[in-house]
Amino acid sequence: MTTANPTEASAGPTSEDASSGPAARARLLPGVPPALLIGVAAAVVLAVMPLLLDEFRLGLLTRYLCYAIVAVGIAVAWGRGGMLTLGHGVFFGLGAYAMAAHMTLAATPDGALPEFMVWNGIESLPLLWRPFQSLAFTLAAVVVLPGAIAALLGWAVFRRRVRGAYFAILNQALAAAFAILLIGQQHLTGGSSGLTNLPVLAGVDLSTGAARTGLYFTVAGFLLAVWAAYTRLMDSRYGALLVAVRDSEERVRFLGYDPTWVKASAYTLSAVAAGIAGALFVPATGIITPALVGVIPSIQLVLMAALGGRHSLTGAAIGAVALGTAETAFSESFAGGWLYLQGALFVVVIALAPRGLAGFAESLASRVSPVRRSR
Amino acid sequence: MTALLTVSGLTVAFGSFTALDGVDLAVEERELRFLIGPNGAGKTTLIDVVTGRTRPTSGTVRFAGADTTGLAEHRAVRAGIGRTFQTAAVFDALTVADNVDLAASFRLAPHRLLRRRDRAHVPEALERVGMAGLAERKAGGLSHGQRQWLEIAMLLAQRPRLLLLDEPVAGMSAAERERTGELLEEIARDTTVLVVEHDMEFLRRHARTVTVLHEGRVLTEGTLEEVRADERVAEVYLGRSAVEEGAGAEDGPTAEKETADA
Amino acid sequence: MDALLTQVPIAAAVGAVLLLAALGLNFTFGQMGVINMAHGEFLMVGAYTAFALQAWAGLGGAAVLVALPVAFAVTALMGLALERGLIRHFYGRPLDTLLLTFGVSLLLQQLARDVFGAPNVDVAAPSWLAGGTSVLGVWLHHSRLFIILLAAVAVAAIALSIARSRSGRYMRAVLHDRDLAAVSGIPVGRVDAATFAVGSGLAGVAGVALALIGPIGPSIGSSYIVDAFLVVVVGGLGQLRGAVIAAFALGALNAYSELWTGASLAKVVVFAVIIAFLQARPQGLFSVKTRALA
Repeated sequence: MTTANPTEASAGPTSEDASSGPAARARLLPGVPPALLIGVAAAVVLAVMPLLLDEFRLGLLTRYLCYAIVAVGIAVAWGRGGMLTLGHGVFFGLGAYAMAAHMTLAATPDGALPEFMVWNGIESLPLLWRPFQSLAFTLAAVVVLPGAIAALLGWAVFRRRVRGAYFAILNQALAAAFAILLIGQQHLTGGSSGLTNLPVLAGVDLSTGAARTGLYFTVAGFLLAVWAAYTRLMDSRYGALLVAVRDSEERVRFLGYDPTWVKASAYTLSAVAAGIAGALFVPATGIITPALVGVIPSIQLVLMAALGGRHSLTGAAIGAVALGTAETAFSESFAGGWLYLQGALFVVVIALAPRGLAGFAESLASRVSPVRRSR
Repeated sequence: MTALLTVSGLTVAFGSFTALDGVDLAVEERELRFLIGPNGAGKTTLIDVVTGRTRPTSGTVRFAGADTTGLAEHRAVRAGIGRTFQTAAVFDALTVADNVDLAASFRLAPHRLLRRRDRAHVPEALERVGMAGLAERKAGGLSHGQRQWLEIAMLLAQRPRLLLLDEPVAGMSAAERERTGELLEEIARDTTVLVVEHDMEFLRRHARTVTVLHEGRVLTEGTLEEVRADERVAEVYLGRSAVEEGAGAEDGPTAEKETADA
Repeated sequence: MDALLTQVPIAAAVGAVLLLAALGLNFTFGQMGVINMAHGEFLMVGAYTAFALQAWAGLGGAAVLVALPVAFAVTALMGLALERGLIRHFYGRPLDTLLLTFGVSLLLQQLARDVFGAPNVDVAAPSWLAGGTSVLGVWLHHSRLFIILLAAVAVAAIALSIARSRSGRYMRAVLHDRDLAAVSGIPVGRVDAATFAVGSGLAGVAGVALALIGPIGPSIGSSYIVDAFLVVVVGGLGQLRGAVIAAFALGALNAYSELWTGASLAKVVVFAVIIAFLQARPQGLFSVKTRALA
């Protein structure tokens, strides 16, 4: 079973040539790394989007790109590291609530309390909230809070070789506990209605068209940066080591490495991406609620990565945008239908296309240039 | 001179089952030692204890002058103990070169692991096992023999002081066994090697000293001739133990031997 | 002191519900290595079975009793269909199974919303379960006693059938060594299907119990499933006694942390305690000792 078998094929069929990334892809321009081509192409596409989309659609795309940042992180932890993280909503939520706390305070007149606190009978600003008056502290917290919790949890469970399904369930339990905590601590978190009414960030009025476009470019920039950094990392020895740990933790031990820190660090990086995404999500959408960070949203984040291709950081990001677009399109036409479709999508993608959209792209590419592949 | 590896009074019990029962073993530097015995004799368990995979119930393991009893697996490797498994454990999703590169890099500081892979040392290790042309192949696409050799190449890249090979020729063709034998002799020139093997032909050709384990105890120990002359050895292989599970290691050119000794 | 005492039957009832929910998982997760995220929705189906029998079939208070076997049968069949139709193609890929069955769980939840409506509904407990008894100054709801009794009967029945019946022996054999069982002529595929059906059926029974203690909604399953999985994690693989101890321990931990820290912090406390527990016993309370595990 999961804990008994060191070579558990937890990542399923992706274990075969999953780390290939660039190598399996056709080379359009000899000498230019494929990742660079993808990055440039993505930057161009992202740059022209504001010209093609109206303000409403651009706002939606900004939101999907936030999820794409999370999906890149999930591809690292799950696709490359074999750690199925059913609790990324927690890390997303930590980043989001940190940013929302800061923006709530920024929107509150000096000396006054945020409205929801007044309704809850709070008389002075809670200690937990005070540091979030500082933007610098908030920005640090967005990275450090999710990172520290993931590092601690990862270290504690991986050290004891708790993995596979157990790890997934613990993650889900964390997400459940987090959502319940947010709802219950109404005086600190705004309860189930969350934190809303967040019009200003760093002195900028976010409601103007220019600010919306600026936010879009900020989010797109972060996505590219996170994608580039993590892609580069996956191309290093560390990336190979992570795949090795996924496929046989036991064997990695006998190569002289301690899998604990390999896994904990990948999990932490993945959580940090989610935290950054959450912090961007709040100014982009103006709201954060427990319903956006609980068990179901967490698993939806995994579906994004699965749809795009869990082994591919690029695929996962595209999967997030594709799933977001599909959700919007379907919810606009008939609301209940989307939930059926989403359920069906889980079954179809996992059962029939475990390598996701990226898998399709790769098999297409290999058909185009069979010579490269058989090298 | 003290031995490189000294095992004293080693006992391992799994619940009511005693896999090892007071085993003493000493392996000298540069020795090529074979470890044989019927299934269930405790051979793999012994390797597991030496490499930190299994904690002994009692007894000690000393390696290169230090007590290594109960050391975590990766620390045992860092101390200089390498091992292979009964089924070659290579990373299918990685290329042959990446497999070797990872094996060679375990002493690197963390920040150097973050660098793009540099594989200067890879060709040499692959050359030694005759796989230089396969560097960019995915390990998942290798034949059984090639996988075993890749695993050996990975160990060579680690430069261990003691190499533990668990049935290196099981399931190999005659030609592959031949090649592995040559490799073994070459490795043994500058590395201490302990081999668990059932294949009698292989044993006859390469064994210098042999330790026979039976039911968790050392039955006898000596040169191949001494061991072959020992009546008790013939008895445990052909006698009552043969009933347990077709005693594959009977004398003669029998080759194929599959084990469930995991 | 009073508060501690009054919390005892609550803790026991929470534990009993967790146990009923976890018993089925204990089979499917513990024995077959299958994480069935739709297990929670089988609870939901069981609860709605009780509701349908009462509201639609007009059975009144007797509905709860009638619902026990009916819910078992309905969810057992659903489990059988799920196992044969989907899950068996994914043995050895536990994480993929987990995601697949999560998709199924989303489908079932939405189906429930369309059939029964999104708002919660209530099942009226029969009159003989409505009241309570005071023992040593502690108020015992009859419905809670009933659930504890139900859990006890279920555990006894399972323990007996595992120990005595042939299919129980088969199940133990498959749990111990799947490959060996297969070559010994045990029809592993049929054992898996039967195990899965029984495990799912138990979820149906647990669902009826849920209907007794509160309102039923389409997402009722998802609120219990996480805790039920934790019971299996803490209890150990496929271990009945582990599940029993873990369920009541978690029930007590939940009930008492709620008392001391409030409901919203309780889950965080429980989570932290479980992580701490896994530091000492990463394999759970009891694990099958084999050489492979050592």
